[in-house]
Amino acid sequence: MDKLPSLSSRQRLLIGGAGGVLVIGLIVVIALIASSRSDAASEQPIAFNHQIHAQNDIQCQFCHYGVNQSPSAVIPSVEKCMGCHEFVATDNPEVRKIAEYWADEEPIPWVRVNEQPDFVYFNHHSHVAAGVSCGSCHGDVANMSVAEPVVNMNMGFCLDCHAEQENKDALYDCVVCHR
Amino acid sequence: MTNITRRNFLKISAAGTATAILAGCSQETERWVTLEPYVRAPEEQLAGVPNYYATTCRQCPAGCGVIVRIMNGRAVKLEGNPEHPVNRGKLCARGQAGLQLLYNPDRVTGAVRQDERGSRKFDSVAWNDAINAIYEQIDAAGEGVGVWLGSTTSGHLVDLFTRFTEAIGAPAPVRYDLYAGFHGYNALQSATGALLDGAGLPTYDLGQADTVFSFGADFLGTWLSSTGYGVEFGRFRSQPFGQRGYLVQLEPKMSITGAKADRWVPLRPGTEALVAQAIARIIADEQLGSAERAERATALAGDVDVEEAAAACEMPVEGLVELARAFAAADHPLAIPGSAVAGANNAAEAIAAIQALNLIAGTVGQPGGMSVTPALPDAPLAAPPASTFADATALIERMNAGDVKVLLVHGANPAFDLPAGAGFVEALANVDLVVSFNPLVDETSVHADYILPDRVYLEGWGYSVATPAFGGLPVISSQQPVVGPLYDVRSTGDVLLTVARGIPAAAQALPWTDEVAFMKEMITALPTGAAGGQDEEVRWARYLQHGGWWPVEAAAETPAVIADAAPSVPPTTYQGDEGEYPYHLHLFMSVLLGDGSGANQPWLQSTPDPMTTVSWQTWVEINPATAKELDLEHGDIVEITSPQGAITLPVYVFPAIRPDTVAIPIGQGHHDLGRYAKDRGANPLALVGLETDASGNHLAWSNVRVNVRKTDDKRALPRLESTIETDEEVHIPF
Repeated sequence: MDKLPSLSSRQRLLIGGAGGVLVIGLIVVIALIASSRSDAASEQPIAFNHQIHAQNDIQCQFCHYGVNQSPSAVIPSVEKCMGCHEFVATDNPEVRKIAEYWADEEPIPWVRVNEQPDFVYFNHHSHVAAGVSCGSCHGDVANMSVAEPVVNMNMGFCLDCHAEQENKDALYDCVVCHR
Repeated sequence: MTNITRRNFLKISAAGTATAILAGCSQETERWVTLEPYVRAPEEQLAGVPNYYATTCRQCPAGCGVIVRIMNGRAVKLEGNPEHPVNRGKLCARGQAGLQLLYNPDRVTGAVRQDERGSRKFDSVAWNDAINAIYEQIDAAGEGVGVWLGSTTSGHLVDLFTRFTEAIGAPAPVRYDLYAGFHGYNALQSATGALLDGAGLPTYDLGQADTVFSFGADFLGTWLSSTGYGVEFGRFRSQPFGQRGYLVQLEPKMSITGAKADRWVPLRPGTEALVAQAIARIIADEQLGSAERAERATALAGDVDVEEAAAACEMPVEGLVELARAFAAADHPLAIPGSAVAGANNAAEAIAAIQALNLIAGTVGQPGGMSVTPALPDAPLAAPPASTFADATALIERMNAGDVKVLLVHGANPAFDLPAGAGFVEALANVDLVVSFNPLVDETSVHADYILPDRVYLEGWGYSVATPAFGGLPVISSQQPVVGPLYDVRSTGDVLLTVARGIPAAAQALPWTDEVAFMKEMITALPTGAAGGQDEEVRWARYLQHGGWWPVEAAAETPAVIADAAPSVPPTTYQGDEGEYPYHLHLFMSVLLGDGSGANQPWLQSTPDPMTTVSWQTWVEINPATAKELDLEHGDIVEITSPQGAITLPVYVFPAIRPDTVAIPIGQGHHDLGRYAKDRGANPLALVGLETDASGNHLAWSNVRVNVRKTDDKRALPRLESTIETDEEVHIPF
């Protein structure tokens, strides 16, 4: 067996350095991926149960009433919650937390679950008007306890849908979202 | 020293990098969007959808209508109100910067008391305690109450304070500040009143005039209503059949209006009236223009020797003849007296001499002519007149005599606005109680016992009778809160009504529960305006929605000409001996900082001056020839001395100024007024004395002579670009 060519100390250093850089790079990538995953459930101030509300036939738009009028779907006010929960399920420990916020006149510091970066101009109103259902982007929230970002709403996800539309040429324009 | 091998170096740096990256990752990622849900969602607001409200700008006295964009309860953008007859959808830089008054970090956030005047140690005090304290002293003072208001004080406050002082037997409020003094509202009004039957601020139909002689009126920069006249100038430049009007600007230093003019005449300061008189004389002598025009000129031209006049204004006789011919031949000629004329020792007469050209033109009340701001149909809402300098000094004299026990100051900053010699600050020592309602600690509030901050205009109620008006329409511009107050501030109208409730005579005169009730009563008493609505409530709602009240059509009233002889103009005199003070001082109001109240808004501070591109500073403009003579270049610090005082400031070498004149902008030189205004630049009012015109009413500020002395200092001047370099050959246009 041929003897492996012995490496000079310089070569060793180079290979070692390159390996080190690779390892560090990998750590960075993993860390970035991990950090991009929302852990909204554990952060939410109140474990809001979407499922139980949906099962009671409350439409999404009852609370997210901005969805067909505004770019923003709207996070309901404490007053909205208390409209029902002054009487409904008042002994539930999570509901009691709402009552506390209400008594203190403090807004509930909800943690955002789905978000787009600020270079994306997303408008709920135009999507709802075009007949896109809530679930096509947000997943089956009606069967989630605490809402989770189950759909990865990246650019490919948006374009897959835009490509199927009749006016896809217009919807493929960069400035539709990046303006 | 330890010997670090290459290998060790790499190890250390790799370890360092890894640690840094890992440390970065281990931190919780900060979310770029935080939710701000409501406790109670306002009915009319939806997250992500803006609301728009109409209100009135108060950054200067013009009274432009603005529309404010509100996102989630926050004012985020101001734009002009397209329906408003004054600014017709346009808004100037000062108007845009109004947001920075609302969000100013140096606002007084609640009622405060100062135990030792001038100490700047303010203790917060409960509103009710403060109101009680001032109530007791006002009640005890009776006729010893003095009220000092500014040009930007809301019309409803002027009305309320006037009724209040009347009820308690105190003299009427003084409404005087730098705007009133510098633009000469009162002088313009009284001079025009001597020529025309109809009291009111003159208005000029610039948009339909074809030949305009502006005697130093910087109507595109800072004048009575620069946005309104800016719109008019647009019309002037795009008239039917491609005509674009002919503008001659006569002024010692080129203003932004001069830069836009077809012809700029570098006129010797103080000779504006002489030029006007000479033009009238030439029209009469040469029987120029139509027969009527020549006839009117014969009646109204004074006994002026054209050659002497030409020598005095340092213009060739042919130049004057040329101007006279252009004026007489035009269909709609117009002459406009500027601010500097109102600051001369012969202010009223000089204005009248220039206005007389409009009478000769025969266009009074006609398209393209001079007119007066029409009166409102309802007397209690008459446009509050600006006081004279004499009124202001009379109040200071009363203070010195101990006749003023309580002084209430709103919207004015007399400690900054008046020449130091007026002795306002010294006179305060004889006043038992000084109350300031200003939203920031300005130079006057520093000497106050109480600061009871009013709501700033985007938070407060009010109205403004627009002066001058445009298109012959009297305009009441509406002001409503577009956002809730940011701090624990109270509207001065309500504070005054609360105080009045405890004084029987005042309670009878001011029976309203709050300022809105008062305004609603005043406004709904007006006939139905352009916004329409029969029912009172509907009229009120539309008044707020559309930005004010104005009639559908202009009244076709032409003010009658009552002048039948030439106004006699006393000769211009200058303050300061020509040998000792060889240069004329030309003061001009900064387009951005206005009377200086804009100095606390960094957007305005950092916007370059349109002519010199200097920002954040006060500078003195000196002609290159003069600069060469005095061995000065950009940024050299000079001392400017007048008979009254001295200031030091950097030089800007400016080709478009007469060599015998130096020009300084007003607006900087604050000791207070917040972090952005404080200790920045110089206040050239230190150079102005107390001389008035012959009537004693108007401060003479434009006839001051100064000396320029080079100091050893030099400082780089903050300017965006250089118009010229000092070592270049400069073309001097005269």
